[in-house]
Amino acid sequence: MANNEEYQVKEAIEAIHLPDDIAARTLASIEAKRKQQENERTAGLLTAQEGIHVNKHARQKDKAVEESSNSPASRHEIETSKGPGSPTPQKRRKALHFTKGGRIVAIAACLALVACLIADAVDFLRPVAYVGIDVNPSVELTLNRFDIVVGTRALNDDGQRALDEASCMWRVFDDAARDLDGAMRAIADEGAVVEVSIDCDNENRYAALAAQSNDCFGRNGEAHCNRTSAEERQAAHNSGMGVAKYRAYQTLQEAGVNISAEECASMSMRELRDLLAENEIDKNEEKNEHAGMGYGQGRGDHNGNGAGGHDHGSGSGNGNGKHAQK
Amino acid sequence: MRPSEDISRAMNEHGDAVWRACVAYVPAHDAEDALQNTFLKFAMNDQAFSNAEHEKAWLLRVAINECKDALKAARAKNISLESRLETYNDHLLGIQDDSTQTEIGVKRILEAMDALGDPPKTQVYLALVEGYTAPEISEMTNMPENTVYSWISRGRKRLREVLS
Repeated sequence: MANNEEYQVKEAIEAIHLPDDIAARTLASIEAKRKQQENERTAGLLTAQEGIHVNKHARQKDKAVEESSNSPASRHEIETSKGPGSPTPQKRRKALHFTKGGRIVAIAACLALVACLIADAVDFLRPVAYVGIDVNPSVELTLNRFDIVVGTRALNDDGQRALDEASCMWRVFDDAARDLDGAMRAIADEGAVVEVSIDCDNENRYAALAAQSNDCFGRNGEAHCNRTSAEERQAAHNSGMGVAKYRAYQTLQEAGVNISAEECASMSMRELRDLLAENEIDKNEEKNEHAGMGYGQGRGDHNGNGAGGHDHGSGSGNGNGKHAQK
Repeated sequence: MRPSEDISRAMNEHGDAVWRACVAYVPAHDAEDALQNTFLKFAMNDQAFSNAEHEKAWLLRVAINECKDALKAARAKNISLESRLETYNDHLLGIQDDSTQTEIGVKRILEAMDALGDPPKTQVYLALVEGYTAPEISEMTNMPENTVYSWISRGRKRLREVLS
């Protein structure tokens, strides 16, 4: 073994053995299932045989009736012998036909059903939240009101690789985020920082998504979650990057650091955070910026060493405007 | 459905490995369900295996997927990790060496494996305990080979940190 700890793991796990009673119960349950299947198969065969017998009998009866009904007298007898509970073939056919009014009602009901289905589909696909994730793979997930991923967008090539690997579409955000975190961290370098930016109008939904994001992305390393607006998201995408990188880019620009948007887009969040720290950009400065944005992300349990402000926990601000402090 | 002798033989040959994989993921009472479902699927599956190793790899993959489903269900029911970890204290694990030392060791190791998260837990488990290579794990977990290498390396490092 490569080292003592790995030897300990192997030794400890090899001390575990399948208890005899569990093995016996498992074999017994399989045998019970086998018996059940055999019984079902036997019952199925009997039913099928009965079905063949009944069909044969019915065919013979029909043939006899057909032959005897060729004479008009016998036809009369047959008609009179049938009670109200046994409809003739004509009556049965009529029962399948609607009257003119009924047909219109049926068509209207079908149209209403189709309209409802279309409305449901549109409602299902309607985005209610956008979750941007920047590591260096940068991606954005679009969520519907059931927190199901109904759209994905890669903001760079690595982002596309991560999305290809994690296949997030039509999955619940929680599940998709766990796989995406694994895929993104596998692509990113060691010590990667994950920045999650959530654009969502509903406070409760935002709080729930932020909690899920912290849980999913914070399991395997440093992760920060913050709120954004549709305008800021659009501006970030126009600059070819995710919201977190765009914020870092703006902060660096304001601090007088000569850096282009393309350079920022190609850097990882870890590198950007280090660059912010190198230029001694006070995290309080950024905190104020976020407070000014009115999304209250300045408080929480953040203990990172980069440019702070993207803290865990939900905030309490209610202001408007992206640069309200200006 | 496979003949009973075939199922008993597989249970004798691979029962321990499947059980270990199950208890590494879920508490003993869930592990029993996962084990039963795994062997039931094996019984219902008429696919022929090329050799014993192929059969074992198939059983392990099914068992791990069963455990992941059980964990998902537990998450949906909001069962806390602590309450699940508590069940490591019971004697259901099938530890044959009854010394307290071993039991503490197993509990500690299982907790450390749980602390890894998944990935890299599956990759590390298959590599360290079952001795599979990265290409084999890649095939078993449907994950690119390089990603598997990366997770094994990180998982080992993290496991050393947790245990040391």
